[in-house]
Amino acid sequence: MVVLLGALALGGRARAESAEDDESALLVAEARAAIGKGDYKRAASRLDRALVQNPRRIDAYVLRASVYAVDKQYAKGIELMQRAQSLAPDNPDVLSTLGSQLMLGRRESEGVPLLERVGARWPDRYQAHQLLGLYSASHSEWARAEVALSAFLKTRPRELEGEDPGVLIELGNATLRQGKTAEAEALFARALKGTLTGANAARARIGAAWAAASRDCRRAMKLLTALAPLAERYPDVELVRGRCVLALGRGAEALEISDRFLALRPKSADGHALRGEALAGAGQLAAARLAFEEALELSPGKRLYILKLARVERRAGDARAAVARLDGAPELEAGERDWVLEMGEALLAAGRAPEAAALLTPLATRLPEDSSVALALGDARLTAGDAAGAIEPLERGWAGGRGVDPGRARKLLGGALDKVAGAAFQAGDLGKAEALWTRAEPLSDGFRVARNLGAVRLAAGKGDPLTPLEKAAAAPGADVTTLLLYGRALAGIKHWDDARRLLEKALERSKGDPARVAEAALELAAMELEAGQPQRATAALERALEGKLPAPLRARVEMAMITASRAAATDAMQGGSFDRASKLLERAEQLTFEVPQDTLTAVRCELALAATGAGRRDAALPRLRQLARSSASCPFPAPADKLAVPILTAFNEGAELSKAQKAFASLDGLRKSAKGVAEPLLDGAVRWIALQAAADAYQRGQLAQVKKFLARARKIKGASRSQELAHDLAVLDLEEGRLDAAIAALEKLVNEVPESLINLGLAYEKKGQSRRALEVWEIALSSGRVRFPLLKGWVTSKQRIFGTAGDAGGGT
Amino acid sequence: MRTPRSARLALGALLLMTVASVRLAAAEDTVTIGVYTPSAPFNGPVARLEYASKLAAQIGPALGRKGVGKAFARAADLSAAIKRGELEYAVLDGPYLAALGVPYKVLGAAQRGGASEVAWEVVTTLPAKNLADLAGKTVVLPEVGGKSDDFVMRVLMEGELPANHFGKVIQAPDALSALAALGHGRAEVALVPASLPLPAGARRLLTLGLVPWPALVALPSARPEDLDKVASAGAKAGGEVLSGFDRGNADAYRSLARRFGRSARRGPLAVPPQRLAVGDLLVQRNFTIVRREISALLPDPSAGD
Repeated sequence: MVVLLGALALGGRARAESAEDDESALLVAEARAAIGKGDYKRAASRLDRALVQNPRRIDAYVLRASVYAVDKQYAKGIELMQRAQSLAPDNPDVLSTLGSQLMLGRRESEGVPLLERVGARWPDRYQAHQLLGLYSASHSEWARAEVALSAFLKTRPRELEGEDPGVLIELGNATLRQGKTAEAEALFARALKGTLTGANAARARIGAAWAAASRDCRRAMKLLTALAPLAERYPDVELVRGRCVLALGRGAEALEISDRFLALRPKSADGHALRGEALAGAGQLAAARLAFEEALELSPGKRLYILKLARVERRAGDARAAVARLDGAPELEAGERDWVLEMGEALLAAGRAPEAAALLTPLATRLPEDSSVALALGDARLTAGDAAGAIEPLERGWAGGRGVDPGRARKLLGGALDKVAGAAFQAGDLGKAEALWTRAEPLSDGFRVARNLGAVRLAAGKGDPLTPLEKAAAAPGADVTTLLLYGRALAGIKHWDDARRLLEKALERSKGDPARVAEAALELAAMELEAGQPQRATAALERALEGKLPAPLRARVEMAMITASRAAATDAMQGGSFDRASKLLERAEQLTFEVPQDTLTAVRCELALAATGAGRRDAALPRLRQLARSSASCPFPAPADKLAVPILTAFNEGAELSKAQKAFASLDGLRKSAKGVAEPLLDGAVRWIALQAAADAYQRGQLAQVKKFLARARKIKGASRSQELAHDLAVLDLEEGRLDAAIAALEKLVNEVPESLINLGLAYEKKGQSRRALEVWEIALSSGRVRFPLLKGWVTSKQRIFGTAGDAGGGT
Repeated sequence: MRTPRSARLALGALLLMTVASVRLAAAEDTVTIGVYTPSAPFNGPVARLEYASKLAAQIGPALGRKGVGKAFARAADLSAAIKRGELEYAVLDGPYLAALGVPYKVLGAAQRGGASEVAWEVVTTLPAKNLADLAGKTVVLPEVGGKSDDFVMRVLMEGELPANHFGKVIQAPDALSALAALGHGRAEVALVPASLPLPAGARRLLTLGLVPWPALVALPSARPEDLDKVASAGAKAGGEVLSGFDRGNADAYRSLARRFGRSARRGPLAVPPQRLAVGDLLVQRNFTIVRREISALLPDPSAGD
C-alpha cells in the first residue's frame, strides 16, 4: 500500500512531453483512477497501453511496477523498473521503486544498497527509509533500523500519518534492543497515543512494558500486570513479568511464574532460563544448573544462557566446568564484555587468577566505567599477588554501579589496600602506609586495619592514632598488640589512667605467655615512669620476671627493672622513705649481674645512700667499701660524685660511739672540698654523728663527752635551726641544775621534739613539782610520739604515789 | 676433890668433840630449813615454827633425810645460823633477800592466794588524804633487816618522796605486829602487805607496788645435787599462810634488789632521724624505659596475635 501510494505520488511528477504523451497521460490518469478505486486489473491494462504509447513515460513504469507489487509479481516489477532505470538511471523515483521491488522480491542484497543510496541522496524519499527500516528491524539490525525508521517518520507525508504507530512500534523495538530504554519507552508511549488495534496495540503495550521493565521493574510491574490477560496469547508477557519479579527480589514468585510459563511453553528456553535464574537466586544452584542446561539444550549456543549457566556453575563451586563452558562457547564479538567478565570470574574461581587478570585487563581498559569488570580485575590481581595493581580497578569497582556486590568490593579493596600498606610499612615507607590504611580502614571490619593505621601514625608521630586504635581496641577479638598500641597512644597524651587500664588488660590477657607478659610489662612500666609512678612500674616488671624468658628479653626486663627501681628509690628518698628506697635498690642490685659497670656503680651508690638514710649500716658499709676500692664515681652532681662515698662511710661508721671521733676526723678532712651539694651532706653527717654520740654518751653518764659532742654539733652551719640540738642543750642545763632555763627551752620544743616532754617532766621532778612532772609524762605517754621504755614505769610509779595528774589528792 | 685443870681441859675437848661428832652425825641424817618471813602474816612465832617444821617434813623425805625446820624472829639470828652452816635451805623474806642483793640461789617464790607477789599498802590511823599529809609521821613496817629506809623510800615510795619525808621509820617483828603497833599508837603509818586485817581506827590510804612473797633459797651448805629435788618438793609444799613455791619467779627478787638501788632518772637525748640531705643529690634525674619500636611490635601487620 505504501509502495502504491508512493508510486501515485511519484507518478504525479512525471509529465507528458508530446502527443503520444497526451494519450499516455490520459491512460496514466485512468490508471490512477482505477487504482484509487482498487481496480488493479484496469489500471494494469491502461498502464501497459501507456507504456506502449510512450515507452519513455517514467511515471507509467513506476505505477505499473506498483500494480505488479500489489499482485505480488515482484519479478515483473523488477524487470520493468530495470528497463526504466536504463532510461533514467538517475531518477529517484525509478531507483526508489526499483529498490522497493527488489526488497519485496527478496533480493535484499541488491535492494538494500540501492535504497540506502536513495535515502542518502534524496533524504525525502520516505519509502526508502521505511522499507530499509522494516527490513533492518526484521533482520535484527537495530541500529540501521533505528536510523531508517526515524528518517521515515521525519520525511513521510501527512497522508501517511496513519502508518506512524506501526513504525513507532518498530522503532521502539529497535531502540529497546539497543538498550536505549528511555527512548524506547517514549516511542512506545507515542505509539500508544495513536490508533492501534489488535496485534499492534498488544505489541505497543508489550513494548512499553518491556521498555519500562528494562529501566525500572517496580514501575513496570503495573504495566506487566495489566498485560496478564494477554499472557496466553503472548506468553512472553509472563516471561518478562517473571524477570521483573526476580529483579525485584521476589524469587519464589518468579519461580512460580516461570513454572506457569513453562506450563504454557514447555519448550521455551527463555522459560527454563527464567526458572534457572529464580532457582539460582534462591541458592538452589544444582537445580538452577539443570534449568539452564535445559535452556541451552533448547537454544544451543545462546550466549546469555551460556553465561548464566557458567555463572551458576561457578557459584556452585564448579569453576572448572564454568571455564570449560565459556571456553567452548560460540565465538562472540571479540572481547565481548559479558563473556570476558564471566570467564574472568570463572578463571578466578578456578584458581587461575593470573589468567583471569590477563583476560580482564584489556576489557577494563576499554570499559573504564564498568564497575563489575573493574571489580573482577581487581580481585584477580589481588588473588594473583599483585595487590598494588589491584587497587586502582578495585577503587573503580567500589565506586559502584549496578551489578556490583558492594560487600565484595569493599572487602577486596580494603584487603588490597591493607596488603600494600603492610608492605610499605615493613619497607619503612610510613607515609605511604598511612595513606593506604587511612583509605582501607573504613572498608575493613575487625580490628586489624584500624590497629595498623593507629600503629603507623604512632610510628610516624603524625596524625591521630587514637581514633583508629580506640576503634580497634573495642572491636571483637582485638589482640594484645592492639591494647599495647592504644595504651601507648594514650600515654602519649598523658591520659595515664586510661593507658594504665589498657596496659594492665594487655598484661592480664598475656598470661600464660611469658614473652608477651614481658612485652606488656615493659610497655606498662615505661608508661608508669612517664606518669611519675615508678613504684607501679616495678610492680609490673616483677610480674614479667616471674616467667621463663629468652635471654635477650630477660636482659631487657632486668635493665628496665633496674631503671624503674632507681626511679622509685629516688622518689622514695626525696620523700624521706629511705628504708623503702634501700629495699628497691637491693632488688635492683640482684639483677645487675650483666649490666654495664656504670649502671652497677649507680645502683650501689644509690643503695649506699638509701641504706644510710634508713640507718641500715649493715647494708650501707659493704657497698661503700666496694665503691671505695674501685674509686667509683657516683651519679651525683659534683663534687658529691667523688665525696659521697667517703662522707657516707664516715656517716655510717660514726654511728658507733667508739668510732665517732674517727668519723669526725674523716669528715673534717673532707671539709675543704665538700662544696656545693656535698656540703649539706657532710654537715648532716657531722650533726647526726655528734648528736648520736652525745645521746650514747649521755646514756652512759659521760656528761663531759656529751658536752664535747654537742659543742661540735653547734658549730655546723644551720645548727641554730636544729631542734634536736636545742633540746639536747636544754638537757645539759637540766643536768647542770639550770632547771628554769631547761624548762623554758623544753617547753618551746614539746610539739617538735617528743623527747622534750620526758626531760621536761624530769626538770619538774627535780624542782620538786612531782604532780606537774606526772602531768607532762602522762601527756607524753598518751601522745604515742615518744619511744622511751622507762617512761611507763615512771608514770605508773608516780600515779601510784600521787594518783593520776587529774586527781585532786596525791601530794605535790 | 677438885679435877685438875688439864683434866678439865681434856674433858671439855672431849665433850666438844662428842657434841661435834653428834652434830655431824645428825647433819648427815637431817636437812635443816630455816624460816625468816617477817612480811608473811603468821600469827606469831609458834605459827611460824609450825610452818617451818611442816615444810622441812615435806622437803626432807625428798632427799632421803629427815627435815628439820627452824624459825627465826631476827635477821641477825638467821644470819648467824647461816654462817655457822646450820642451815642448808631457808625461806627468806623478799625484801630481806633483795636488800642483801640476792646472794643465794632462789629455788622458788612462795605463793599466797595463788600469787607470788603482793601489793603493799599504806595504812594509817590519821585523817590524811595523801602521802603529803603524812609528812613527818612515824612509819612502822615488818622487819626488813638492814636498809629499811631504802626499802621504804626507794622501793615502796619508788623514790618519789624526799628521803626525809617521814619523821621516823621503825620495824616490827612481823606484819601483824606492825599493824598492832599502829593500833597501839606507836606509829601513825604502817606499811604492810595488802589484805591483812586492820586494827580499829586504821584505814588503807594507798596501794603501793608489788613485792614478792618469801623465797625458798639454797644456802651455801646445800648440796648442788639436791637443789632440783628441793625445788620440786617446795613447789608441792602446802600451808595456810604460804603454799607451794613457784619455780619460775626467781627474777622478781633481783628486780626488787635493783629497786633498792634506784639511780637518778635520766631521760633521752634527742637524735634527729638519720635524715640525709639528698634533695640536691637526686635532682634532674630522668629515668626512662625505652619502648620497643612499633615495627618490632608489629612485625607482620597482616597478622593478629
